[in-house]
Amino acid sequence: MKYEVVIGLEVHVELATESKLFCSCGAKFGADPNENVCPACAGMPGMLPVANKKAVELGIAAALVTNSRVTPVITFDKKNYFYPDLPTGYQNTQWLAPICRDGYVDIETQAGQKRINLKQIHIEEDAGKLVHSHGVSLADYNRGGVPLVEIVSQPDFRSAEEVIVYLEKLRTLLSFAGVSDCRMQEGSMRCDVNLSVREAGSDILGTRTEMKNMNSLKAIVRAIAFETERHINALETGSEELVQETRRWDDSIGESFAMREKENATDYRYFPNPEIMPIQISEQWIDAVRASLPETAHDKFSRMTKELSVSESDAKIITGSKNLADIFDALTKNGVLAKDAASWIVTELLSMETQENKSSDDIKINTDKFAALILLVNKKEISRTVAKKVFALLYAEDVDPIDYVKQNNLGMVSDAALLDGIVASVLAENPDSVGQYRGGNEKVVGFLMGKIMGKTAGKADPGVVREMLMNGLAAASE
Amino acid sequence: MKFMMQDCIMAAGEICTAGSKMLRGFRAPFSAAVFERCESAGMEFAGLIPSDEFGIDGLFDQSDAVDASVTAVLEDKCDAVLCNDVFGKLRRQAASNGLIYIRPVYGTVSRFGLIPAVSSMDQVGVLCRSLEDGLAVLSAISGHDSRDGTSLPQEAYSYNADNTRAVTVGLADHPAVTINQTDHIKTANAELKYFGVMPQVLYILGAAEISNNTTRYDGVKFGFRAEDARGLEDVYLRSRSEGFGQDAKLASVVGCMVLSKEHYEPLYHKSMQIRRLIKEYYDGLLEKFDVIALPANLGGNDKYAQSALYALPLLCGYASVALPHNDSGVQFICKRGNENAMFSLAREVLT
Repeated sequence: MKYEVVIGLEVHVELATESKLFCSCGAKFGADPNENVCPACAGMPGMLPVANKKAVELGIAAALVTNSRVTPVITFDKKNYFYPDLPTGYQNTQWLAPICRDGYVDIETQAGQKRINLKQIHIEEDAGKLVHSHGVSLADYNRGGVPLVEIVSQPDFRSAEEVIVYLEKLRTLLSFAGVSDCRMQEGSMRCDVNLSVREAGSDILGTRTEMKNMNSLKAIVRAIAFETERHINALETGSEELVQETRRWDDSIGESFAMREKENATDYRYFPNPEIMPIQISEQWIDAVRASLPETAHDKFSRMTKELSVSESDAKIITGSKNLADIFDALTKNGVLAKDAASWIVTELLSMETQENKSSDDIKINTDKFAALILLVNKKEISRTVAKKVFALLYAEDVDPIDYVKQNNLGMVSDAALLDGIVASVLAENPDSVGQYRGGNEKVVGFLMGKIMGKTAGKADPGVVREMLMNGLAAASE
Repeated sequence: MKFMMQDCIMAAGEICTAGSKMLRGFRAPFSAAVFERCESAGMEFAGLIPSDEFGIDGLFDQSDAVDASVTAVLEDKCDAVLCNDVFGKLRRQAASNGLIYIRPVYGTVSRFGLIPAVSSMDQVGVLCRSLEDGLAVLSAISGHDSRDGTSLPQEAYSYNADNTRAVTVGLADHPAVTINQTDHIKTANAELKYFGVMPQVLYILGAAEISNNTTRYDGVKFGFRAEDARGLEDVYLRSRSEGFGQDAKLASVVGCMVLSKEHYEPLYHKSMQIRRLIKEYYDGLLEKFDVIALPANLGGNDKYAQSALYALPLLCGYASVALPHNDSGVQFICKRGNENAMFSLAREVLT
């Protein structure tokens, strides 16, 4: 029998606000435990939630880039459950009137274009984090109250490939719109995978299981493969009965496990939060958010390839990461030609990423200094060889290229008398090569160039050197 | 002027338990907005007064013992007590003990620093001996507060009983309410609807919100924790079992039930719909009358049935004032904007 897997996703994305959803505490990742906590987000009685306008605006932005219908009046609801990561015993979320509904995201897979429909997007607050060690559990409420949006898709996926392409597309859409930095490894983008299996061609959905809090694409692919096989196996052999449940994916073992039954039997007792007044979202407000949206990845790609003569392959890489696109914009703003900026990012900067096994989103560089370095090369003040060395130092130690070149006397050498002498000495030291050239072997030019550049510590102007070398070889051949 | 507060209203550094063992030893980390405002108006703080647990006037306890806040004013310990009267005990006892209880319009007084009971109905009110003192305190504590998302935008309010224009009063058809017509007061019988259903709506919504507002008391972060509890579930169960009193537990159980998947529609949601119907009706009626007048006490010990008298301002966010009048006391209710007309009526009835 042929089977078909049916998947729906709930993607959680932390909003890029300065402060939390209902208090003024900082929302940035990486603070010391409980550094960003006030009486409100610690759940003290007597504190009242005051909604963060920026979070609502980012929610509107998320609606716009996913072609969703914004709800004219949104409300917040309370979702009750006891767990120590939740200081109030309830989570503020949107249950009755979420920020938007009925959107879609178009994806491109090997099989062609496909539309993934969205049920809704709602804004909610994140929970805190528990750290278990040595028999005690510690609660860190820094993340508690940080705003996020949950993007709920329809069960429209039929393969892991579609899931991955969709997640990458969502990340591009949301990060370019400034909604979130969408960093999976920092937990600012997480995903619940709802999966069922049915006979191919059937229009009845099978029993669904949910795997929560997946935060790596690789793990998602593995989890979908495992869970699909488990479902098919259960259907074919009757070896186990499939029940609707939440399962935990253990990536180190490569298996999913049923959570305790109690965790599956929760009634969240949702009800409207009487402490937060309904918020009206006018057409004017939506228009203002639309007008303030930055360039999308798609538009940036078109502009780079059509107006700025960047190659399609470079443009694709750069617009695949908000971070790289930001570096590109900073370089061009500093007077670097688009084509040069793109090629430096793709060849030099990304080689650092590969060496350090970082993702394009994590790579960091001082773009003012990076631009200054590229301009030194363009103005022929340093050679490309020197530039590569300085770049490595700039990347690793943040050296200032202009100062460094000056202090280490790395400026381009184009003093004819000095270079003449070096060329003559290299020709004299390599009579065999000169002989081979005379015999018609032009490959030796590269070898001799290397020798000469080596003697100048890479500082010589390669154009000038090449001309001198060719003249010298011609003279020797006569 | 000396003021006190029920211990559900926070004063930084003071132990505020909202009458619950669950908050035993809880020292307020900040002060309520109303406390700050009284202090900056030059009033003298004379201490906190124990309140019923989370303001729940228990249905189990039918004794109706005089509340400590009422006693404090009667014994002259202060001129006014800031209170949160949800289920009507303070309004009833004020009126029958010669005192006055003023409840402002929802949203005019900040609830920042008030330990919540029923968030959609909680509102700091003033229990006082003289109307003038009460209005001075009310004017001091009213006004916008950015720390309370339900706070109305108006910055300041000035309350007095000096209104001289004619006040139209809609009377409940009850022998205890005998307001005489004067040049200043025009009375007529009003058709007061929905009183039969109000206790149900009050208790269903009240229990739902109390059950939720008390989930933060779990023995984990602050307040009471059962001494020998081991493990998370034990901490939750034992701390909450030992920490909450009978009424808070009853409210929690009922609240969880009415919010459960099974009962949300027929109980919670239906109550919210009825609450809206009630508000629509009385918004209309309060276009016709500046004030409506109800008894402040029906006599007898059935607190549940009595709560019909006190539910209307809570469900609709209206202002009210309860004061001595005949044997049972009287209660006036008005919409936002008509408070001073209502207070002028109160003064006339008092003198």
